[in-house]
Amino acid sequence: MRVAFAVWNGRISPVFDVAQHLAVYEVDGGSARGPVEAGLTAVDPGARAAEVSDLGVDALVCGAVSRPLAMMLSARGIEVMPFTAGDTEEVLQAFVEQRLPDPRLCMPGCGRRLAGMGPRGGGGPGRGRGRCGRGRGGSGSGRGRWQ
Amino acid sequence: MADAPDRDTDSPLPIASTEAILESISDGVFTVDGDWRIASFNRAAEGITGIPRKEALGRRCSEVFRASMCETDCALRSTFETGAPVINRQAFIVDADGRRIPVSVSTALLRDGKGRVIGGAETFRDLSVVEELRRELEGRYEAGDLVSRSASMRRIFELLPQVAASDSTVLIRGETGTGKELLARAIHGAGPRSAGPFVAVNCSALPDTLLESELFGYVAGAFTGADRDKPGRFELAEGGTLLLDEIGDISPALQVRLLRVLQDKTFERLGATQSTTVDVRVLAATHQDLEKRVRSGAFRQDLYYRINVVQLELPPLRRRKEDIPLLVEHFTARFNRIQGKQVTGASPEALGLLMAHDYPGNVRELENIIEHAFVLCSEGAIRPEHLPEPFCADAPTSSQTMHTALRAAEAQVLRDALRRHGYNREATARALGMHKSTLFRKLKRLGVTLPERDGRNRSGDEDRDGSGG
Repeated sequence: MRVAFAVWNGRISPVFDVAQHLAVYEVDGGSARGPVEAGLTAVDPGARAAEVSDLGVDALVCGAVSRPLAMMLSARGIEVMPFTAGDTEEVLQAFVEQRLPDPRLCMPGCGRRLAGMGPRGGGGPGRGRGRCGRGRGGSGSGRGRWQ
Repeated sequence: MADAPDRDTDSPLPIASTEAILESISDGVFTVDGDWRIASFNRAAEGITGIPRKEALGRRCSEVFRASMCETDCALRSTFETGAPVINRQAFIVDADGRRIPVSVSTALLRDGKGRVIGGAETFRDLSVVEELRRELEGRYEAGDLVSRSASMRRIFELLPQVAASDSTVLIRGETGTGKELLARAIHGAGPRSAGPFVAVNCSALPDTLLESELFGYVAGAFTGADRDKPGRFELAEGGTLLLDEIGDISPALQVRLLRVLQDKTFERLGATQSTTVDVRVLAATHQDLEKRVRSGAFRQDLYYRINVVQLELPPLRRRKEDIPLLVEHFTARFNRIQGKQVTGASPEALGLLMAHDYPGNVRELENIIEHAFVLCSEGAIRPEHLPEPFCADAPTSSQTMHTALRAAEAQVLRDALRRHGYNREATARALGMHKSTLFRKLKRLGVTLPERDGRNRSGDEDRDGSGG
């Protein structure tokens, strides 16, 4: 799968709504190839979601993201893993090892719903888990993280 | 992250002495140490960001504060670099629930007793209420070609991003001319299908059989004259959005076919044996009371539930008259652009007439009125005489509108009373509660003419009929 990480100074960018750089990796099994770097310029949420979508990514790992933008990304079928914080390499490693969401790699204030969460996997389309969990778009049924 | 200038991180921050003050103020305040980590975080900061203090302390400020300025234009960094405080810089933060909160940010350096920089302090004020008031007072909500500052339209603008992002069927309700298609276009334009086509079909404009072939298409030989394959609107909207306008008017037979497409995304072209699958988002619009049509059996209940996943109702223009000046401005700008004119807007008199109208044709009617005015007016303001017939008939020509209106009303009252009393001046004066000479003076001043017959010989019995207004 193709995964984009919103990055800034070697860490996950704090606010995806205004983030300017993406590092895109091909994650296959237990390894990652990349990154290919891409810029983000759009300010409007719809256009920004389109920019990400045009890169053909399946998932986006980012920091804080506003609700409308997250929904637009999800609606384009992009799995959003928001409110992630930490060193890019460390987050990438955690993603490859399917350890996200990880309370240690979450932004402050986002851990309220983390209790009881296991490693990723098992959340089918239309499901999202907790603030630092992942929500997948598509038909939108099920309990997404914004609901 | 760049290092802040000389700071002695061993020196204690002067928090203890000011803690009580910091805890009681409504502005959010945090301080950072030499590593850009949160050293203190007051109660208001907890409230505005939604982050408990214990989670914030020791974390990087950008990952706690999450402001739009952190990455490119950090206020605190600028203060560290220049030594000058930043005062009330506008930004937004994203709180733990994904809300964008507008804030104004101020910064200052923290120094120890010897004047050495030991960190930085940032205060921020939640501007949500201010922003809301600003919008209420002067702001406008805008999406595509829809403009409004009306509270009744606000819910629609607030819901629009979420509605646009989803793939659900939306039922748009509203009287004719309220902008149902504009709203549908705005939903399409703000959603993930914006790069795809937007196709609109007016279901009431076509007879049933024609509508069926228009929607689903046909194959060559399906009927006489069908000499080649023709794709329907559903196929033309592939990857995009299809608006079924006036959906309340479609026949029961077509309702069944439509239900199947909405459920399975498949249909057959007329005369085809193979099914076609489409990826289309369907929006439906109607001016009718669909619930009533469901109750009367004219509209299938299952189809009604299928299209009524999300419902948006556009209020008629008469219920959001505060939008009329904004819409006049909007249409004036558009027609200036299209026709290359320099019309400045509507004069106060013209705007007064436009505001007094009830607009059975809603925004479309207002647009037509402005277009009409543009035919007669090339520059300057649109005046009453530029408006269509019903408006200019009532148009006051002087600036003394109120005075003129009062005179007209007074004259009318006198004429009515005179008529009621058979033009007997004395009876009329008595009925109106004035002296006969006052009545004469008024009739003269108002230019009310009397018939030859003066009615003096008639009895005053009719006085009892009333006061004459």
